[in-house]
Amino acid sequence: MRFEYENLVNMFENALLTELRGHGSGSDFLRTWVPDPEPVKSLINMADAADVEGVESFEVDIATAALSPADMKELSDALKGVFMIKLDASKAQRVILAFTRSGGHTTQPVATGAAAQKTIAWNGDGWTIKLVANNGIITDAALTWSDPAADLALIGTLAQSLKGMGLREARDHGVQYAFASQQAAASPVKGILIPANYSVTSRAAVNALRKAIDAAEQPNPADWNFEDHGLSDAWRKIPADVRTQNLESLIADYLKKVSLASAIIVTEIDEYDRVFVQFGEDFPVAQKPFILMQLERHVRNATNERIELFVSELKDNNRIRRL
Amino acid sequence: MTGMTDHTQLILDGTKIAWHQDRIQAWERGERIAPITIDMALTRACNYACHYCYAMLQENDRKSITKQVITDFLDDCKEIGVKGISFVSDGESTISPVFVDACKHGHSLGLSMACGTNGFVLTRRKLEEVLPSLTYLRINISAGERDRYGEIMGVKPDYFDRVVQNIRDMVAIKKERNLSVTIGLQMVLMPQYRDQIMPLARLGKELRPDYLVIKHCSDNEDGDLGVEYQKYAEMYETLHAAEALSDDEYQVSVKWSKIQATGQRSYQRCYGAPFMIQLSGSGLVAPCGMLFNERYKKFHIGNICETRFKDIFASDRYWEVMRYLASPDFNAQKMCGSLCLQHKVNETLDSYEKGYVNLPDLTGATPPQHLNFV
Repeated sequence: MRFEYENLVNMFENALLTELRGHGSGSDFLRTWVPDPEPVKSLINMADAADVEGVESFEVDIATAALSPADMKELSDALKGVFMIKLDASKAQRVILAFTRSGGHTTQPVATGAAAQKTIAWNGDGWTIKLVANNGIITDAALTWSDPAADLALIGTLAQSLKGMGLREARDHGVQYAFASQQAAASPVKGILIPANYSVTSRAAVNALRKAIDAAEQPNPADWNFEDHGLSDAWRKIPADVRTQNLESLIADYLKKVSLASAIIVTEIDEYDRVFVQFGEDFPVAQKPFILMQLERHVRNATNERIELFVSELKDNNRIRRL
Repeated sequence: MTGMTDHTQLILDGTKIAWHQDRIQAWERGERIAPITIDMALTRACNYACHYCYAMLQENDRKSITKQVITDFLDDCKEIGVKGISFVSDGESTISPVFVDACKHGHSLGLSMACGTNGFVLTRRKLEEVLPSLTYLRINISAGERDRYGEIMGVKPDYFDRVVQNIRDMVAIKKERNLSVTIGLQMVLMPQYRDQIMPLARLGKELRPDYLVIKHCSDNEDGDLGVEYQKYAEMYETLHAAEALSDDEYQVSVKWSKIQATGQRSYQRCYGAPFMIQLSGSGLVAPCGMLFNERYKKFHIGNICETRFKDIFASDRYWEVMRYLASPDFNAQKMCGSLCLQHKVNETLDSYEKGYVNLPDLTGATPPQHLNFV
């Protein structure tokens, strides 16, 4: 079930004036809920009310401006062990908070709220597409294409790639991720790879996938897609010195593979988890850019993390410029 | 084109990429396309010390762009199909000894040539020589009052007087010789310069260039210049008042689309770089000026002081870098500074690739000015 927060508060406050007895929000599971002037406290109260009633999941649609990042942290911290919260910011100026009971808190099996789950089934252009999304995140994907030219491997990779993506990200970039993950050494084109030119299948797949998703949930281009597949929490949680050791080991593997003397060290992993390396003094200058990009690819493939490699910043020593 | 500029077709806040559909279609087919526009500098050095200068963040291994290097480069550009060269980028090109020759040689080849400059050394004699070769000449001037000019642009206040005289001269030369060159002023606006918006707009009205454009200040992904994008909203009223000073022959435009974006991007892939690349005043070839610093070594493609540009363009390395930026390896929302040169081109190409927009049918439409500067 999904509630629009502002409506709920309005109903509650209006009822304070119009109802003498039996006042409430109109929903059984919110019988013990009292809104608070501060939205974050109000939401904590709501989750407590849901907890009391044994509710497994619910969603709140609320104005983005009502909750700061600090509020979101406060909310998550306050409900730790009771509800997990997923955030969907794909609507303009609104955010959907999906509350799902945390595992271990209840002895009952965790059920997915019917409203949170969405199945997209689409047939057209020879394609059969089925996407199951929970709170906007694809949990299952099946795609088939009846064309004899179908590249079954790419379609299979696409189905795997879509899992874990939001629907918007799937339509915008899903096929790119699929061919990037199966890309062979030889590129099918000399220039820039996009779904339109990677292969017949990629071109057909991107058209079909976009039609399927747009038919179910017309995207608004004015709502920007900020979904990012950056570093995992697991990677970030590894202590920096251990990450450094792991990376230097991978660097040594790479340098050995390309028959270069071990001449690159990790100097820093900064606050944004960017990795800075330093070349040895006798490292061939002309090779640095190419080697750095290849090395980054090697590290990414080995860790399955989108690690970024940089060298140290060069400061401007121009006498009259300053920073 | 006559000496008088048709302001209705002067696009100062947008992109002309849709007018290059042949190249977009070639890109879509996966062909190796030549850049339409190259933005570059002839040196990394500058005679000013502007507080907002992004070039301070772009230091890289300096080499000297000699007359032979720039001549070869321009010849190569013509050969591979580049259409426009702007001398802006990360240095003050007018202080390079090869500046005038470069403008004249590029123009003689049929390339559109342009320049962004502080205008300090462009005295009347030099202007008379170079203006006929230019499509546009844009003066960076972020204040309309003498003392504030000195403070903001890091020079003595009397530099203001010299530049104002040079602007008068270039406007006069354009009229006297009925030249097609567009003469513009540009204010890089930091929130702390808001007191100079109206004085500069009024100064422009007096000096009579073709336009004054007021733009945001870019910052790198670490925010080293400290641009407070949220504060731009407090200046909207003043900016509208400045625009209201426009008349039939003087256009004041604010780059609203970038200012209102508050430093954010709607797209994650950088598709614009192959259409529009940047070269540092060191000769470095990189997809984007924000990647000039040595820190971004992995994006550095080559150097025209060492390798002919046509060979750099044809190299697998060039396309390896371009592909990286267009792939899931890269997310411009996370890995870039704010509002780069390619921003508007990226917005258009990204929306087109995602199927949100179609390319417009421009049959019979009149092309805008400065078509080769996308």
